[in-house]
Amino acid sequence: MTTVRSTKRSGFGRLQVEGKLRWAVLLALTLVAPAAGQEPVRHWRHAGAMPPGAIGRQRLMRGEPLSGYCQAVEIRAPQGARIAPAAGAGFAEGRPDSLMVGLYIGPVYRFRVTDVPEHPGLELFPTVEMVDRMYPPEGESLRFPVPVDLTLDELLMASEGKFVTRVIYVEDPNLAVPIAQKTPSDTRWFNVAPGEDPLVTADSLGRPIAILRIGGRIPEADQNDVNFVYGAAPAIVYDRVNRGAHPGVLLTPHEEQIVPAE
Amino acid sequence: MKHQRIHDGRRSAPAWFRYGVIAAAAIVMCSCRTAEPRYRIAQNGSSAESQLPSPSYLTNDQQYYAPDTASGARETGSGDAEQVVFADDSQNATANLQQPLDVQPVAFADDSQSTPAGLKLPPAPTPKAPQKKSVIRLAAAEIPTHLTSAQLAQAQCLPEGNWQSMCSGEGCGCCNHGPVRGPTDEYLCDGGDMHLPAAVNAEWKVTGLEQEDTVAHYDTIDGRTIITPSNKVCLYAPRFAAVREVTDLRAYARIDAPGGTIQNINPIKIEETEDVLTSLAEIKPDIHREKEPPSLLREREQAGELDRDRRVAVTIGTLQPYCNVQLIRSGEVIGTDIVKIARASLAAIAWSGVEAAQVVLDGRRAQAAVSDVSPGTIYHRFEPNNPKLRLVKLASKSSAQPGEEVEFTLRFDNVGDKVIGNVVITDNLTTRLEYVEGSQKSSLPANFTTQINDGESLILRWELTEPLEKGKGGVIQFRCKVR
Repeated sequence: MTTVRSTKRSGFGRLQVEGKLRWAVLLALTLVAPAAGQEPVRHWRHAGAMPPGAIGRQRLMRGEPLSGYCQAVEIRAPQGARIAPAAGAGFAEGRPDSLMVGLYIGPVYRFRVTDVPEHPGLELFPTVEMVDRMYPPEGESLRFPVPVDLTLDELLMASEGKFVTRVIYVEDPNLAVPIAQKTPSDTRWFNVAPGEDPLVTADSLGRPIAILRIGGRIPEADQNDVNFVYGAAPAIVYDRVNRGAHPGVLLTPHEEQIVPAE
Repeated sequence: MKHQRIHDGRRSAPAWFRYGVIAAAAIVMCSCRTAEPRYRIAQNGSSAESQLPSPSYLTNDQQYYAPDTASGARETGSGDAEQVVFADDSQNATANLQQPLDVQPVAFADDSQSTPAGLKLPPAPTPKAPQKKSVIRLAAAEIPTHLTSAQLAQAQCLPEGNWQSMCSGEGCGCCNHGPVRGPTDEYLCDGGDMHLPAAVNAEWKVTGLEQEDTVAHYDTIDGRTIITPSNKVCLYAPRFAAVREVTDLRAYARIDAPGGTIQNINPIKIEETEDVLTSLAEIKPDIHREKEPPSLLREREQAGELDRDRRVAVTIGTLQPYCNVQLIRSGEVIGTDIVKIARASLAAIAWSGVEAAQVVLDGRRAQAAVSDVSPGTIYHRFEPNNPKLRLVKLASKSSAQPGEEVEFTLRFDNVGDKVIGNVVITDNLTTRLEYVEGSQKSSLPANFTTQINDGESLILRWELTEPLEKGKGGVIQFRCKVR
């Protein structure tokens, strides 16, 4: 009697291959896992070189209480310079020295800086992108605005063709430098080391709140370039004189009433 | 027939082997750690819980609040995370905390022999590992302080607006006060006894005193040394800084050019590039130094610590509590708002008087304990030989800008039934608080000394020159400038 055989090919050889594959995969994963564990625990989703607006928009997608919050921001320029927020395709009337605005997290806000001291005719168009917010006590949001400094040095560097990126962060008190900050306007800053990402550096020292970019594009000659202002809604400008003096617009729940400027 | 075998398909490995391979691969692949969420949205009811990350995402430096565990801990006084720090002196806990070898949880003189005859001592804490013949090391959770576990937890609550790893729903007062809570980096706190528990060793040296800690220790007439932390007060005082990067397109041109032709042809561009890059590198060593301050360990552990209550600071700031005698007298620094605390303080004073309902337990008059955080009155038996020092810390503001001055008030009272001596009050200021020279004042005669701490700020120390009689107390005030 002959041996009854299956018509199918014996799977013994294939089983050997599969077994070897399994062992190879298992061995590879075992070897790779320790190497992966040696990598830094934190990995950043964003980089400072990302295009304007990309970081803020992605931050909104993370589900944190950022959407719809109007963060008070104080933009400070050299004395005498005027700062104007974008309005439509153009720019509104500028304010001297500093400008208090309410910005939402996500959009990119374009500003125009003119009347730079000792540099008549110089116009610069920095952008501010909010990537996080503050959590002040009720009624004190305007007392603790996020400072965005436009130093004369940086404005001149931008006018020479350089691109300046400033990441403003709130300092971790446990990592605080024991240096007295005499006034709120005396914000410390430092240059990032060559090759390092300013956003990553700021994140290691605190919590990045805003990104300031100076340099790059200039508007078209007719000043009607909608893309130049990133299509963002006009920034809410707070009148420094009348702030809180009259009933006005309720920006966010439990916030003080603030009068937007005309 | 020698052998007959029907192959009805391909031969496969045993099922247990296949499942094992799959499980091993899954474990290895799932070992990648996801980014930690730094915020959460606190909402009412279960929706808030639904926003919390799954426990499977917890990392080593994250701990989440378990309501059941914590509530039980408050009752027993030795359960929640901070209490674990106090109570657990096992080897594992010590290793996790990376506690220095010279730091002892607490060392008290053995008072078993010196106890006056006829006096009934409070329940004796369980001694562990006697160090010397006359010294007993006690579990820190059994430090004889007048604070209950709830008060200790309250003293270490995070302010509202902070990352609330230990708060969820009820229990901690800072949980029910707002829909959104952010991280802790916007607050500046002082007071309490965070992380390593402060203790007095046999050499009369205070150990475990970290930045922000404020404690008092004193000797009892029966030879014990007792340490008591104050409550924690927090100021909203964010400080901003900026990181700048200057990109010169010509610098990139020099780098990307093949053969460095641009570099050779146009040396002026090289100078410009070096100018920027050189200036960047000068400040860098300081930045590296900032990354590893002495408090780095504490920073890593912060996500798992107990919470603190910002409402304390808010109430303090609004009422200017160093003038609010009732708040200081009542010792009740927990409340939901200004009106509630003021009303509760009045109620506490009224109900603790003789006009209150009199209760007798076991044939002896019971004491009424009134709290503004718990409705009703709790009656308990009065135990003799129960020295207690109450230490309350208040701040004059709830928020401050850099450069502003904040006044702190320390109210201390001997609320026990015995005179206490060698009362020493110590306040270790955090880095961003700078003591204003000459601003301290004490209502009782005290020797005031300062010492530089790890954060380049100061440790303030008041040593009362006279024993503190039963029912007596005093006030210490000093000012600090926010850096």
